[in-house]
Amino acid sequence: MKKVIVDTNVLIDYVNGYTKWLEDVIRYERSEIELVLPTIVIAEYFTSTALEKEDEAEVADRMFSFFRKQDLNEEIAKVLGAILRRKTYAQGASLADLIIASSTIYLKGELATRNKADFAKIPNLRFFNSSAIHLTQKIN
Amino acid sequence: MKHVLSATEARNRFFEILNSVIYRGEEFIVEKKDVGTVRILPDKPKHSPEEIKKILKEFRQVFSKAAKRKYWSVIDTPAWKKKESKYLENLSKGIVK
Repeated sequence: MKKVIVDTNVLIDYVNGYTKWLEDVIRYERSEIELVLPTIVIAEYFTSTALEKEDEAEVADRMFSFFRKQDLNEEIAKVLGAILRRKTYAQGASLADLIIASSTIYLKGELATRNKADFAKIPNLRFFNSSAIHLTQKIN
Repeated sequence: MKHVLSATEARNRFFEILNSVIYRGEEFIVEKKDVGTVRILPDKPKHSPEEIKKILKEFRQVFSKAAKRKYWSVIDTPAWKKKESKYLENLSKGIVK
């Protein structure tokens, strides 16, 4: 099963009407793909003032229930440490980006993101190509 | 995230634990003294197609205004990014402060 690690901007793009592949995977329970949300993505999502209200946080929780969560564990921390030590990251990358990238490498998955440039120079990082998904049904 | 707790605590906080497992995907290990442990972890959420559609629609509706803003939050602003870039540069040099 392919693990697809989802970046924060994919969730925001989905709200804006893009990244429809995400809906396809969730709605049609595609068995060949497991969606993974590093918990740092949840942290980034929750930085918006839109999450101030408890009701809205619950809406996000319900959406996130479709994803497997991945905490920053010891192995991921070591991958992250090596990236920082060797400076194999792009200028615009944030610490959260590097945690997301390290989680993807640890899980041997593929990263779904809008900003590939922020993840440039990171060795062994694979990106998810949403066009490889064949839509099974038309999304309304 | 894994949590370890006693059987008594699990009994007292059962519905709170249930919500954490269902909505946050958290995992709990319940220890019964001198007997053994059990794990409470999420099964794949079982939603009907209508429920899934409703959850997705609600998610898009609730956050549509926020998603249209120039910045999702302060962490997207150039000032924050500049500071963070400097922080990472220092971290790579072994400077932690």
